[in-house]
Formats: sequence, structure tokens, C-alpha cells
Amino acid sequence: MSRSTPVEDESTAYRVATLPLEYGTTRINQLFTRGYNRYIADGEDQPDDLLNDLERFGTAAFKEDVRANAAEEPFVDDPGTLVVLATLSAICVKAHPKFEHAPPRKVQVLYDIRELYVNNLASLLREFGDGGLQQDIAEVLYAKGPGEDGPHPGRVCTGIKEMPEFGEGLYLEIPMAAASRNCLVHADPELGETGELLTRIKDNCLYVPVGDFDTKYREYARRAFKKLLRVQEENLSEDQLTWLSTNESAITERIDRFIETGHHERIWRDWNPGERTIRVLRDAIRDVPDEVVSLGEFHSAKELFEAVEAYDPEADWKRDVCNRISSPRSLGNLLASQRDHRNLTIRQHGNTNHYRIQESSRGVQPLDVESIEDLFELPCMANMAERLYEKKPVRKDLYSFARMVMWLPQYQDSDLETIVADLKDIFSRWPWYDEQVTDYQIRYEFSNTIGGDTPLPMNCDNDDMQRYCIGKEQCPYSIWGSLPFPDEMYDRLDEAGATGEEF
Amino acid sequence: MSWRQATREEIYRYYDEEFPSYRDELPSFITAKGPKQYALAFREPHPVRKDGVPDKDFIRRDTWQTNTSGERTTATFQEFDDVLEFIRHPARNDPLGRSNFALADPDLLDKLDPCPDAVYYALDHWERPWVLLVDIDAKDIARNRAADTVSEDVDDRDDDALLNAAGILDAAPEGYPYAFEDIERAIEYGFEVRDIFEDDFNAQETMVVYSGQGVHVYLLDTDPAHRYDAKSREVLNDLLQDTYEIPIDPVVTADRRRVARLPYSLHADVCSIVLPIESQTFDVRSATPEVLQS
Repeated sequence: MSRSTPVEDESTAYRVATLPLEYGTTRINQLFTRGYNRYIADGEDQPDDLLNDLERFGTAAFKEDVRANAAEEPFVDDPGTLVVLATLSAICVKAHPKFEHAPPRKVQVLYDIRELYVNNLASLLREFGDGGLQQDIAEVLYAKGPGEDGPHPGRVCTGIKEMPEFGEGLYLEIPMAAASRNCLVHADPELGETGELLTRIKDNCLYVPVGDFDTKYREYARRAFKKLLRVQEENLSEDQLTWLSTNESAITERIDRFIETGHHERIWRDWNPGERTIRVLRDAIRDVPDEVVSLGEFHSAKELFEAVEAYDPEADWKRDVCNRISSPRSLGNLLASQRDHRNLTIRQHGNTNHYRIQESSRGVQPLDVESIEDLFELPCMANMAERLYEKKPVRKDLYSFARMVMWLPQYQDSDLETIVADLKDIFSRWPWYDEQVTDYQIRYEFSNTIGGDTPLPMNCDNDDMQRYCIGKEQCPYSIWGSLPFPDEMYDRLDEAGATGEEF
Repeated sequence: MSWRQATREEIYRYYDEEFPSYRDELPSFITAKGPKQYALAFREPHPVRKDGVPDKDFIRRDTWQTNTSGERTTATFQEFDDVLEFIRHPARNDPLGRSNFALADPDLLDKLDPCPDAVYYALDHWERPWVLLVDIDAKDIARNRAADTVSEDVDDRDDDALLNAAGILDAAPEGYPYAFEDIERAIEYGFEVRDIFEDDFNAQETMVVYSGQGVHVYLLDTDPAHRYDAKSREVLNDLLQDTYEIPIDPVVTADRRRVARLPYSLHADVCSIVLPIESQTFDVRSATPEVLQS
């Protein structure tokens, strides 16, 4: 282990602060120690100074111009101090009674603090100006994900160079053998088109414009903040947390003021209201008996309004959306405001508008699945079936199969015995079939939940399905897009996506 | 010469008489034990020994048996002659031997000895990094050409209608979904890709192979700088398509589990030898087997 730690060595502090996802909690805590050491004078803690600075940081984060300026000139001048102030400010926000039961990803003020942190870090990094550090960061940003051949043995980024033949500015040099699509950078696209490829090739290397490094690093820093915050939260004792919430007032007061003055948008990060409306409408249309209205058909606002009126959802947020729709006219206005939604089409019909809501297909051919047998229409599943005539399944085959079946709507409410019997019926066609073994294996897969939740079905990117994939470009289907999985599954995906990225 | 499908007898004759004479010409990585698999496609599905298992029109055979950790234990073919015997009479020389899943012995059936309509080898290779192959198909070129020239009222999802409207089905070779000019264009693209490999990717060892209905371009350098894995190959695909505007088949390029037509094997649909070529002036008609030229 290197003797220099972030506590005393500035260069190491920068490395840990810029790449915390690559370091363990020990190093990160040493970075925090560096930050806290700024608040010790003559061997004495200076808690008031710390409190002042974190209140200053937290309240400044709520101002858009301060956040923007920090990208040009650092608001805080040391990486240790920056991570301490940003994480403590976030902890103060999370401790506000208003957010007691709120998921952090819904809290706008946390995003503001993170933005100030990310911008501040970007300008610190630029001021520190150590090319070696930039190259280390590029190694991480452009490394390809795990593949069958293991990690690339050499350096991912072999240099940051001027390449006059490609135009002005610096370029990151990445050997082809280390390259991934991550390295292909396009100019800002015109509407609906892919922008020109800015990455160039020479001598078996890719040259990526350094501007892309900045963009990718900002994304990284957002994820990094999540880790720093977690480490800080785990690091603070109950006493320290109590001290913080007892003494901090500026951030709390600022949030209270937003609430009092009705600035809800500054506090809450709402998800797209249009998306919610379309989802609820889709559910309401599906719920209407006798197919008076249906998905994929044009209907008047009045017909759709009647569907909404008749719809009685369980979820609170769905009821809220329904309650906001008070008349055909209000529904028409709401839909008109969402005319760019990918699943909504508005057509003039005489003097009135007609609206078409479509299934949330993901641009792929849907597949009716009446029996498990129908899954074999997917080319990958057909390939798997073919292979199973020759070889016993590896566990992952069973796993992929069982998970897909678990989520089929017709089995959502079935008892396990029915599912097992139906699956055994399928498996019995293969030569290796042994009733007892298959029975045990299926039951095992079904008992194998993740914290009580059914695991998500495999998607097309899953390595195990890739073994059977005919190539996405060739295939008219996609597993998640074509199969009639229930909305709950897509909700789970949305949640997984959101919690994976934010805080 | 005619552009037509080879008969069963012609295929047997080719592999019996002419193909062995090219054995010394085969690329050095084509050996009995190098590619992870050899594969054959048949014109007619052929039964396997076990009852209730569907007839097969495509079989893959591993060149090695492996233990549970994937290490090689026993070689399937000792010499390339064994591969040749398998190609000539697959059912009689099936490496699966007496396994239930081997092809059924034609002597015990009313069916003919199955005939290899196409012979393939796996791009995945035991001794060297996975072979890089870029596939350029005359069918794709023809389809793009048709889409560019035909007016929009032809339903573009129907390939035949499109090709018909563009006159491609009627152009020589008649009835095929491309014209000779599309094959010639594919060959030109093939040499462009070879130049790109050499100029921009520093490749030393390359090969262009006429595949019967297009070309395969190989990058065969084995040093680590050219050890492109699936992710690097995706980049290569994008560069070839976007930057150099070459109409390649990106799926084949990035997928190591693919099989490629064996050089010097017969493309039976067009009676052509899959032939390594040196120049874009290559005349496709010269790839007709000598034994079939009488």
C-alpha cells in the first residue's frame, strides 16, 4: 500500500475525491479526515466554523447561479473540504421532517446539493491540472464492462494528445483492443438524427475528443456522490447526527420557506406528469368492459373521459391523476399538452380532436403467449430448446426459463403446483428429463426470490441469453418488449433504474 | 457457365476429386483441431439415431471433447483427412459415433447419404484469438440499391416486390436476390475494408475471400494489439458502417459464436468455390469448380 494518504497528500486526496467508486471506505474516510482537519485549530475542534461552512454550502446550493458559477470557479477550494461540506449538507436535508418518508430521489434540494458538488469538483479538477490524474480518470471512464475475455491487459487510455490532423483540442488515445462503444462520441444530434462521429481512428487507436471526458466524468461524479454520502452517513455516530440536527438551522429554514411560499418545484422532483397521465389512461382503457374504447384506436375526449370516470384504481397516485381530470375538456387539454408523448397520437376529426393511446410496446413485435409453448417463437428460446435436445440444461437455462414464466400474466395468480405441472410438461420433451430432478429444480427457482420479490426476467442483454441470441439487429422481438409482462414488472424496472442512478 | 445449384452428385464429386487438391492452400488456422467446431448444412433434413428427435439440416461438431472446466481432453479429428471424411460422408463419419444424437446411418434408412450443402468452421479458435471476419453480402447491397432506386409506393417490407421493381430478380444471375454487379460491388468493398485494416488498423495479415454471394474480409494478426474482443468489434462495426460507409453484416462481425464458410468449400447454391482472392478484378465465374466445368 502506498504510504501517502489523502490526509496529508494533496495528489492522493484528488485521486480519491475524483474516483471514490474505485476506492474502499478506508481511503474515503481518510479523505473526510482531511476535510475535518481544516476545522481543527491548535488541536481544538472548531465546530462553529464547520457549521457555518456547511450551512453556507447547503444554502448556496439552492441558488442556480451559484451552482453554475462553481463550474467555472470552485466554491470550495479543497477536495476534502468539498466532500465533507456536500455530504453533511445532504444529511441535514434528509433529516428535515418534511422528507422523513420521502425517497431521496424525489427530493429536488438533494439534486441541487449534488449539482454544486459536481460542478465544484469539475472546476477543482481543472485547476489541479495534473495530466496523470486525468489519464487515471479516463482509464475508469472508458474501461469496457466485464466480457468473456476478462479485462483489457494494458492501459485503456495510453495518452492525452494534441492531434492537429483531427482538429483543435486534446484527444484521449485508446487502443482498439481496449475500445468499447463507450468511446464512440457523436456531435450533438439534429432532431431525430445521429450526429457526426467525432471519434477518429489512426494507428489502431481511437482518438476521443477530450470534451467527452468532461461529460462522462460529470455522470461519474453524480454516482460518486452517492457513495460518498453513504460512507459519511455510516461514519457519523448518533451523537454527531443529533448535534448536527440540533445546531443546523439555515438549510432547514430555507426549506421551510420554500414550503411556506408554495415553491413545491424547488423541493420535490416530480416524475414526468405526462408519463403518469398516459399510464393511467392506458390502465383505464384496459379496464373498460366490452371494449367500448381500446388501445390503439382513436377516441374522442368524451369517450376517454368516461373510461377514466369508470376507472377505480387502488394506487394513490393513480387516483390523484384521475381526480385531476374533471371533464372531457380538461382531459383534452391535458392530452394536448402531451402531444409529443411517444404513445399518444392526436388527430383532427371534424371540429374535434381524437386521441389514440398505444400499448407501451418498445418498438418491437409483440408476442401473444397463451401457453408456455408460445415462448419458443422467440428465436433465442427456440435455440435454447434446440440445444436442450442435445445437452442437459445448465442451471442458467432453467433460471432464464423459470423467470420468464414467473412473470407471464396467466401465471401471476396461479398456484405453484399448476406452474410446476405446466413447466414439467414442457421439459418432458427433452431426452434428459427426469421428473424428480426437474420438479426439484423448478421449485428451487421459484423459492429463490430477492427479498420476497420475484426476480426480474432476463432481458436481451443478459449474457446467458446472449448464448442463444441471433443478434438484436436480426430479431423482430425483444424479451422485455415483446412478452406480455404486467405493468408491475415495468414499474420495477423504472424503480430499479431510478434507485440505481440517484442517491 | 451457368449460375445454378449444384446437384448432389456434383457436390460429392467436388469433395472427392477437387477439394483435396486445395488442402495445402487452406489458411494455416484451418486445421483438424484449431477451430472449435466444424459444421455442415444439408439440403434435406436427415434423421438422427434417437427416435422422437427432429431431423437435422444443420449440425455442429466440436473438434475437442472438454472436461467440466472446459479444458481439452480428446480431439475429435486427428488429421484434416478426418474432417474431409466427415465432409464427404457425414452420416457415416459422424464424430458423435454411436451416440443417440449422431446422424442415423444411411444404410439403415431409405434415405440417401446426406450431402453437405455448405461447410463451415467456427470463428472461435482454440490456439489463437478469435478470428476476425467481416461479412459483406451481395444481397444487402442489392437490397439497398433497390431501396434507393424504387419509388416509395412499393411496400418496402416486402423484399421480393422491391427487388422485382428494381429489376434485380430479372438481372443475371436470374432469380437470385442480387445481380452480378452487386457481387462485384461487394468485392470492391471487401478490398476497401482490407485497405482500412492495413492503413488505419495497422494490420499485417489480411485475407479477402469470395464467399459465393459476397466476400469475407479477415484480419488475422495474432499480436495482443489486434486481440479485439466483442466490445472492440462493436466499435469496428460502427466505424466501418458510419465512418467508412461500408455495408457490412454487423452481427457476424461481433459474434464469436458464428461459423464461417470454409475456404475452398463449395457454395452449392451457386456452384462456386469459396475462394481467397487477391484482386478486385477477380471474375466470379472463375470460381466454378474444374470438375463441374465439363
